[in-house]
Amino acid sequence: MHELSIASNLIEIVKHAIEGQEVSRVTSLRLVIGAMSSVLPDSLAFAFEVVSKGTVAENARLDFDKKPLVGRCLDCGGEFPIRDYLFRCRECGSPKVELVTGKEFFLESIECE
Amino acid sequence: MTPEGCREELRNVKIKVLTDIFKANDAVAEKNRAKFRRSELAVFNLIGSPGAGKTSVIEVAIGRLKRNYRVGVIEGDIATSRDAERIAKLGVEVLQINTHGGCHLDANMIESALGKFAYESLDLLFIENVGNLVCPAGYALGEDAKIVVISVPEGHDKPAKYPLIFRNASLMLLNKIDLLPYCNFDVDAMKRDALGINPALDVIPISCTTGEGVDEWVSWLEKRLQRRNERR
Repeated sequence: MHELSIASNLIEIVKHAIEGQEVSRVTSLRLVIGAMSSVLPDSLAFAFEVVSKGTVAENARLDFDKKPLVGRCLDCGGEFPIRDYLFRCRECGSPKVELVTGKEFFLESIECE
Repeated sequence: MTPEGCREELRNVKIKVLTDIFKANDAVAEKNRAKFRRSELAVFNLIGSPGAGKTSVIEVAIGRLKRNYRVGVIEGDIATSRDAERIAKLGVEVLQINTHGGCHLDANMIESALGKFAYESLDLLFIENVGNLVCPAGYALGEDAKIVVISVPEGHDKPAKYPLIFRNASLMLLNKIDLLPYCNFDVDAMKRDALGINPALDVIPISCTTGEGVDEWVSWLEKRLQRRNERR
């Protein structure tokens, strides 16, 4: 739902990243996006298309590197994919589980001309 | 996340950025947090669907706490000052933020609200977020804890459908339990789902109409306030 404000943030981050560099056009953005970031790639791409009009990133393509939910047990150290949002170790049953991947949401790189 | 500025140019086309999209918000949230710490203020961010009873659980808590603590409220709504008017009747400090269509409060809105609000003299600040289970979960405001408010008529499937807020919250208030006899609501299934997502989540069933659970809700807050006093 807040993809529009995220798209505006993205444009600001891109403008900042290309400051002082000879760039005529940003052609693509690579975003790392976790399964639990509650950001929808399709609506973000749509919002970005709207917000980027008239900026250096107009018509830029968004590439998404989607990260699955993976947990690590703080008791037995095992790593496992988290299914159905059950944060419980699949080996020893411990509820002390930290996220290894799945909450990411960052701009990894941009490609420019 | 890797700090901004570690960009490097590879040939002439690719620029590494590695910037967290929420970084700008998180930085402001940390500034807010520092201000709250300096004022020894406990801050709770209440998140729930429209009509879950966020304002009601704040009202019942204020009724019990205002004798011993200085309480303030920031109300976030898309439009109107109806919630702020409800809170003002209780004689506590209140400020309304209208997001004009925005689906969540962000740290910037709280930062500018603090300029118009005598928060330094408070012990406890409730921030009532915009009615929404999705977006507010991703935006830190500088709070000590997020509290998710769910009501019986919404159905017991909410933790499974909106996991992020249940993962990030410290307390779930299950509100309107006086309606349990009239709804097809499985309390155990809901608790199982919610605790599967976040085993450390506290759960308090409550009804602001009958008063059931209000004692537990108020002691939960008082425990947090005492912990804050011990830090002094």
